[in-house]
Parts: sequence; structure tokens; C-alpha cells
Amino acid sequence: MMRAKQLSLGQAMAYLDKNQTGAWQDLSESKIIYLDDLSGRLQEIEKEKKAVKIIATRGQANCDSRSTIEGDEDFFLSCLVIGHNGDKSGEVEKFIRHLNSCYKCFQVYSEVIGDYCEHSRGLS
Amino acid sequence: MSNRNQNNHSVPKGLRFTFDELLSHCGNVSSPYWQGAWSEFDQRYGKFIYKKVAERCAALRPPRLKLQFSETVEDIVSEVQRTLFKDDCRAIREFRGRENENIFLAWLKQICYRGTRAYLRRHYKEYFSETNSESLDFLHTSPPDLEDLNRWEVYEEIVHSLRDAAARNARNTERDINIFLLYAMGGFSAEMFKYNPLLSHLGDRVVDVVVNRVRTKVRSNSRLSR
Repeated sequence: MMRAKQLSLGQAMAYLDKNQTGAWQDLSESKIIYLDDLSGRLQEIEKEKKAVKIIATRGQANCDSRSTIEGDEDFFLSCLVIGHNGDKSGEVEKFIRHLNSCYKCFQVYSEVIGDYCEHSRGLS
Repeated sequence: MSNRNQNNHSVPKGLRFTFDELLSHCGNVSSPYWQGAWSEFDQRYGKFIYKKVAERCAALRPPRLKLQFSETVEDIVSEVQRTLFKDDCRAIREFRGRENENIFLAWLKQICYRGTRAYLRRHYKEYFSETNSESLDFLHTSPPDLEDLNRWEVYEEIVHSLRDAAARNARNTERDINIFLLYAMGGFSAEMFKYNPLLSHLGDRVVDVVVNRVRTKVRSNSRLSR
């Protein structure tokens, strides 16, 4: 699904968190279509309990030329699931270790999550 | 530079030693000509060293140096000289390209560049530990010349030193490093951490405490590594 113009992944994640609060009502149709698509995938990840596995896979990746989480919507949706449900498996901790060791992933992560945090703050 | 490519067996006008003799005497502390050779070395290459350091320093455009530019260059030149004198002038003694002065100049230029880079890396590291994220904007707009003094190098050095300094079995080491990096290099404010999904369970004061604690460690590691 092509991302709706002017809605970054971080912004979209912030809107997904607020989908019950009417925050979507002023958005354009293309943005709502994009958010609907992400919302469906978020529910699937949650329902099938795939979040920890997705994060664990990215944490074990070897990012030679490109960050393993660049453009990885499933990874960032999994972060949202972990944010709500928590993690007792220790995989998040391992991913954070990877993040500290991999500047490329750190750049991608800080950009997307930074964007998400900023917009969540703005929407709340 | 071609006019510098002297015959190794002839003495340039106004000087005492051939190029080969000069390096041999400079690299041999027991030579009776050692002192004179170094005086001539300074006469022949002193300006070259200063110029290369100044060029590199200007290209890297170090932000907010505490000293004036010329003082910084002089500091780095002293470090380059220390490198050349280290271990009884081992670097000069073991230099193998004596057949061509241009090779020597290329080698000397690399020593100047490395010295500048090492000096500025220390400066950047201290800068990180003494400042807040708002004043680190220059790192987001690094000029292309900063290629070899890039953010990732500082990033890796900070992580490496913090992991080394962490007590064995210390809890939360990686989490604390991550908080510090997001704050210092990722542009996160303390309030943004409340929404960070992988760190959302942190208490209100945790970010402040962690950032200050890690910053102190970075600062103290930086001084120890001098």
C-alpha cells in the first residue's frame, strides 16, 4: 500500500493509537485508507502474537549495507503492540542491544519513533 | 611538490643533510647529529606540518572549540611532534619509503590528518558529555568533509566506552546507553520518552537520572582516554 502523501510512518503510528478518539475525522480519504491498512496489520500482529518474534528477528539481523528496520512497517507496528502489552521474553532488551551496536538502525529508529512520540504528544 | 623530490644523495642548498641522511639521523637517538637533524627537520617540514593540520582542522570545522583556531592548530602540531618522537622516534626510524621524498610527505600528511582527527574526536566526545541535545544541531548538518569524523564514529566510541566501563552483570546497561544516545544524538526530549513504546514503562525521573549518570561516565572516560 502506497503511503498517503504527507503522513509519515511515525505520524501514522500516533494516529493508530488514537483511532477511537475521533482524531482521524479531519484526515483526507487517502490517509484514512493508509491508516486502515496499517490498522489491519496491527490487529493481525496482535492477534497472532507475532510482535515479539518480529522484534527478535530484527535484533538478530546483520545490517551490512542497510538497516534491517528501514521502511519496516511490521517492525514499528510490533513496537506499538509491545508498548501496550509489555515484554517478558527479553527480546526487546536484545533488540536495544542491537540498536546500540548498529548506528544505521539507531538512525532509522530515532527518526520514526521520534516522529511518533512528537505526534502522540501533539494528539494527546 | 615535484621540486621537493630531491635526489636522496644530494644536499639541498643551505641545508646540511641529504633526505636519506636526515631521516637516518632523526630516527637514531644515539646519533651525534640527532639534535641538528631534528632542527633541520623542523626547518624543512615544520611549515608543511602546520599547513596540513590547519587545512584539516579548517575542513572539519570543529564547532565551539574552546581555544582559538590557531591555538588549536598549535596544540595538534605538538601532538603530531609527540607522535614523531614517541618511542625514540620509532615512526621515523621504521619509515620505509626513503627512496622518494614525496612518499615521505604523503606519509607525514597522513600523520597530520590522523593527529587532527584524534584531537577533534576527543573534543567532540567531551562536547557530547557537556552539552544538551538542543545544541548538537551541527551534527545533523555535517559537511561532507566530516566523512571520516562522522556521527557514527562518536556513537560507536561512546557505546564502546560505556560497555567497557559497565560493571559485570550490571542491570539496565544497554537500556541506559540507549536512553543517553536517544537524548544526546537522537534529539529526544525527556517528555518524548513517555511515548517511546520500547521504554514506555520508565518513571518520570528515570530519564533525567540516567542521562546525567551516563553523561558523567562519558565525561570521565573521555578524560581517561587522553
